[in-house]
Amino acid sequence: MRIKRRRLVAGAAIAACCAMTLVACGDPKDNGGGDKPAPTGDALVPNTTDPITLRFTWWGNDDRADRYAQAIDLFTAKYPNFTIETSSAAFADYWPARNTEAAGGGLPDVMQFDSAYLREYAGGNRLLDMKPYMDAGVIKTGDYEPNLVAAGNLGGKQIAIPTGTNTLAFFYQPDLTAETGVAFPTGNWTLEDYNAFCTQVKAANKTAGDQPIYCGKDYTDTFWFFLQYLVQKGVAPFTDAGELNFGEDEIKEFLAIAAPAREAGAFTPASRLEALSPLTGFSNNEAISEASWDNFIASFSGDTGKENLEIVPIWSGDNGRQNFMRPAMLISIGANTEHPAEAALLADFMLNDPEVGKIFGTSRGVPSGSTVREALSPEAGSFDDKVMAYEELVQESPTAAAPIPVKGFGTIEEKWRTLAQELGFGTINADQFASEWMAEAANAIK
Amino acid sequence: MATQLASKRPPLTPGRKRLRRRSAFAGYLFLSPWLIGFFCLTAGPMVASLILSFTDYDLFNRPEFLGFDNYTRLFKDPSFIQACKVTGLYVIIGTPLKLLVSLAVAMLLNNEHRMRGFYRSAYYLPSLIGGSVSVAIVWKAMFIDHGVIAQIGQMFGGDGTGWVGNPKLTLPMLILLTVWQFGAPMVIFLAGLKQIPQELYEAAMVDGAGAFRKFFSITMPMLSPVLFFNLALETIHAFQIFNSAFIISNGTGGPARSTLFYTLYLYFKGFRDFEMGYASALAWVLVIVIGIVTAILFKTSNAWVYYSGDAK
Repeated sequence: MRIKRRRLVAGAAIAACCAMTLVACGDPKDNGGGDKPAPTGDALVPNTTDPITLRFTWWGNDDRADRYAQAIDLFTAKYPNFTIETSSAAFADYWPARNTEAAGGGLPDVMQFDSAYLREYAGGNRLLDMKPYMDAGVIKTGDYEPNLVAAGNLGGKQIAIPTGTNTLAFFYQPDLTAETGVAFPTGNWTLEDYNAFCTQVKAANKTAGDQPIYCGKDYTDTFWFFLQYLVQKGVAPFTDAGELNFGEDEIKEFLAIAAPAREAGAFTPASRLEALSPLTGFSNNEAISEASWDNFIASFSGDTGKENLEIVPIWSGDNGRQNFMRPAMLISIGANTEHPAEAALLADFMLNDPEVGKIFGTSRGVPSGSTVREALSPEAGSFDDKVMAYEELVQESPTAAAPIPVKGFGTIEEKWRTLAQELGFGTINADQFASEWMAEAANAIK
Repeated sequence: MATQLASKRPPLTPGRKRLRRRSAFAGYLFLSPWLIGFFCLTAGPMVASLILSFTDYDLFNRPEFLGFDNYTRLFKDPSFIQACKVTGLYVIIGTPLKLLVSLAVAMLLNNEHRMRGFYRSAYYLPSLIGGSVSVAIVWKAMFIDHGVIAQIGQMFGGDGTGWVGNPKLTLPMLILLTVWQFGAPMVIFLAGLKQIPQELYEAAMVDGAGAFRKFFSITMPMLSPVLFFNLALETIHAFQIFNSAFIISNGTGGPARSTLFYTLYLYFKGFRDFEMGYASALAWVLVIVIGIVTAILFKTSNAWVYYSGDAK
């Protein structure tokens, strides 16, 4: 009998242990900040005397890392009691790391954020409401466009503040147009014009080093370009309820526009792009052009080593270009931070300090605050000058409201990228692309 | 059973009982670092993931119960089917190839040789560093456009494009990487070869057996327990490939999902796409599949594994 009883005890102990583990690890109700009472009085004043250590993280390339290093040096020179621990990653690696930290309640104190993930994080109460610190004047957004500030406000909480705005643009390399003798389309050009440009570049049959020069990569490979295409057609991509406002047909229509050039092999081949990743043909000086966000000019210049990159307006649809300005990136504070007021101080410094503004120029978008924008006073012909001039030019013609990313945006954006790559390799066709993407979206958005 | 035991042993005095209980307690105390680790880091999370696999847990919000939805969804998910295909091919082709190479090298190193110690260390080295991040990066550099492999290919009329960007060649590239890490099974094979009594070979030689005959009639049967051990271990190991695929594909499973291994897809779903419930279901399907495959290996082993000590 004794043995049996001991087994029973052991079994009960194991069960209890499992139950305890489950309680400890399995209950995700409030690993972050939750609904703490709003801070008041002294809690809103950053401590500038005692030693404070904050974690700060961002995504981006080496160029951005250098700029942040300079900005943080300025911050610690001004507030010597602070120690800032930094880390950075490529965009795709950045999010699994943040998601894991968020699930465990261990987000960095201050971090760069993207609107694609705001809804998930807002739903989980993982980001600090910065409104009290804005009201107390720790974070100054008085000189921002109100719409821009609102882009970081979800469910009545200011969980992120945009560093600046960006909008879609085309970049091209004059050195390579000269080499191939094919001019980049001008005026109100269409995607069909661009296809023709691509076939001409291919026909010119020129090489850069040992690689053939292409016009660029398939422009249907980026979800945001598809959204821009929908906006040009007068279709708001997402409903106010946060659902898709388009179906497989629109996707197939968009993919079909590039089909002639794709089938003629006029874009940089998928296999070459895979080998170059994370660079692209354009950033490796073997493709003439690439569509991207206008603030990418600095990082493209860093990758290509070229100073003379040109930035031109995107293609026109039936109703013109219909560019939308959106928050380029945002700054957020983890709800789990032990030093919210100090984190707010660092966030404000990264957003609004004129010297920091000069360090970054337009590489985080055209700065949100007019004070910082004026402090930039870029030299004529510099990248910052080109980007700011471009955004002014864009705003001269009719613009559209930026689509607000739905829940699961990061997932469906990445799925688009993967499927576009497969389309490039020819392992799937446009119909499979559309149906598989819609199936993924149905799971991600709900 | 308890009464039987009691009747065979002299009854314990209360003092000795206490002593036994205390020494048992001490035993558990010494085991506690492992026990705590096992329950908190392995058993607990496993039970948690089993429960989560029936929910829509998204890392942030309270999970809602879904029943078997996550499991039925698997079979309609093209990425899941692709992940099974890629992982299956990797296991079915990579594991036997790796065992073949490690056995061949082990047999070469089993011969008396002056530099034997050196060669053993040299051939073992890749498996020490093979799983590391840096080797995966070097491997990628070797197979990239105009890399070493592409240049060798050019000598034989290739066009200088690497394997990294070609969805048809990325899986062979990763299989080569695992085959190259043959050191661990090789060392086990080597130990097994040492255990085979020399007199068996001598007797076979007297009977006029050639090298092939000796291999198939003596080496293979005598080595079969070791072969079985290696096969089971390497198969389970192969199912779990992650690092090299993650690094070589830049954390995408590309090109064109050709390196979308099962664990990689699981990781994407859980940590990138906010679908931890679905990822947990994926994990449990993997556990079940590995369990079934291992069970099959054990069942069939009766037919081909020879244990010399058995009195069958």
